[in-house]
Amino acid sequence: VKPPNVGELCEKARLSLTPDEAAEIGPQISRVVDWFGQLQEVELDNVDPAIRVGHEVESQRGLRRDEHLDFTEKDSMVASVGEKEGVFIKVPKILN
Amino acid sequence: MASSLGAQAHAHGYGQAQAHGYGDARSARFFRNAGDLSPSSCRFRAAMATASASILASPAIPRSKPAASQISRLQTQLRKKEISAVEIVTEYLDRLREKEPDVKSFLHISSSALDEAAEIDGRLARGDDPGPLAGIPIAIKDNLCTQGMPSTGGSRILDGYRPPYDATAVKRLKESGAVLIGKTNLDEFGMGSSTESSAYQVTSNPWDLSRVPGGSSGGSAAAVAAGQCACALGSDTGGSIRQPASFCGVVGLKPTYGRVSRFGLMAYASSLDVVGCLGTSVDDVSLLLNAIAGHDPADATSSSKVVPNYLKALVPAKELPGNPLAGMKFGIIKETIGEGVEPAVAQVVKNAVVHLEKLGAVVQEVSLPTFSLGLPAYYVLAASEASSNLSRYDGIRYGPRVVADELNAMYGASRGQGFGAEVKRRILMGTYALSAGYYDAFYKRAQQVRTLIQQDFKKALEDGHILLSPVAPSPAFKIGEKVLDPLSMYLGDLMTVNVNMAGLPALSLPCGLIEDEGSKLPVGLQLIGNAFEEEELLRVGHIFEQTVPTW
Repeated sequence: VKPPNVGELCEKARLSLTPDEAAEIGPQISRVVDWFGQLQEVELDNVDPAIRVGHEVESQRGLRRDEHLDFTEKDSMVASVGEKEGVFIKVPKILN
Repeated sequence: MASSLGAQAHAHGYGQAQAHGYGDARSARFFRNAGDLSPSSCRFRAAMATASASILASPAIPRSKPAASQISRLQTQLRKKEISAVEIVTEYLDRLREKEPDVKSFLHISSSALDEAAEIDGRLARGDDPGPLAGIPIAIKDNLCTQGMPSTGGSRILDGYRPPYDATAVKRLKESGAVLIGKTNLDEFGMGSSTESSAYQVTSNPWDLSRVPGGSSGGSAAAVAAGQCACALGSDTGGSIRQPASFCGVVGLKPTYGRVSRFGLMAYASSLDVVGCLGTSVDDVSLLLNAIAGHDPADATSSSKVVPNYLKALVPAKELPGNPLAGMKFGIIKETIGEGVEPAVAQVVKNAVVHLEKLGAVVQEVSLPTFSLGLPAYYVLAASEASSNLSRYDGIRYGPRVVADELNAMYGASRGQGFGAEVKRRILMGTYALSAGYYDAFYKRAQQVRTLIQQDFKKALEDGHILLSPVAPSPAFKIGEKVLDPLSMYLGDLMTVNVNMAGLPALSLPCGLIEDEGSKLPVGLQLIGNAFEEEELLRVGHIFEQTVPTW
């Protein structure tokens, strides 16, 4: 398994680090990932992976009714938007 | 009437706790570059300069008689008209303000608390019943959304964010008549075990101000211990209610996964997170659980199992039979009382076991062979889920945005400046573990270990055992002691993470004190039960706290 490459990971995670931050974080992450290595030393054949807790949760019982519900605080959601132009919400350029 | 009380509240300075401008990016980044809390940062120096003073509240702790319910006492006085809700809230707000310069538990203090209390008094005067928590001042961890009140998750990336809705647990407290007194400090997005990775301030342990309150619900635990609120809500993903409860000498309950709705809790690790309660007695924690537990259509992982009246299980001390735990079996987890645990902590826990035996219990040693694997497995799973959950903080939807010409640069800079060092570490480690080609090596193996841990617990709990362990390997450590080495911080979570991976309920109960460098520091006993058997845990916890020698 290749050790963590901070630059690649930052690009995947859309996270910008300063060179100082990257220099500090790199060894810290590598140390923890080495410690994760204990998981490779265990015998795990024939063990099913657990996605969630052991007991049944509601969502496993089926789907909810397909009915429309209204959210009543629309005004305060729109009020908290950063930039508006008339009735439009202004967002940064998406397409290159 | 209401508005003059509101004016009174402002005069007392109960407005919003000092907000930090996101605009001064240079100084903000300096703090973050310094790993949130490095020896060179001003905040670290200020915290260390504080003498090891203790500013515990009365009536909370230490106590000369067994723990008593604050909520029950206040409700009785309120209904008998011996006290008003405004007087109750004023008393707590006064104590909050008095202790706050030392403890710094709060990120925001409600400016409408007295107005809400006045409303409760009005309803009582008209013969209405505002609910079983009427007038009770409750603090809310800042990763729970509170409508109109700032909710930062302890992070700069949500600086100034005011949610348009209440978390379900918060809404249910309000419906029970509670007064939300403020939002408490936490490790950023719940990631941490000391509250030192909050982007805003360091919270001190009321037992010794030079020490951490634990984390990530450190603000809630410290606020309860200092008497700044009657009780508090927290969240627990890997021990974040239980460990600060242990460090601060208060009762902390992590409910079964699915018992309390997670709607409105800022997600850290969705398969592990739960909302829970902290208080100075088991009664109070039970009353809180009564209010917040139950199915929520807005949370697909919440359970429809009926919510019992948790208070019914609690018998007053004088009505207890001679051997109240006769016939009950307990298992003390062998892997938690040997190597890696401070001898003083192990001793206090063994004393607690002797006390349980005196009450008639049978306590055996049980072994959970995969116990120690839980820690790396937990951190792989938690970091992976966090890397996904925190991708929503993109500078577009909420919080401050760093403007850039191009979309990815905007994401990168907003997140780079908005997140602290620990959060960044976990996002990057989680991204690594989930990368194509690495799934088998890390994430899948962590899930397989999770299965083994669930199986071990199931076997140990089958015989009707309640499992016992210390909550943490040490009492509260000094501020700054572990920040430079993330791994040393993670190792302290050994006793608590496995419980989250199995989704089981667990109670942290103060069970004794340790002396360290002249300070008396509390130690917590952890009780772990079967899924949805909070009643048993609370019943036993209540018996323990009512009969334990006072300290």
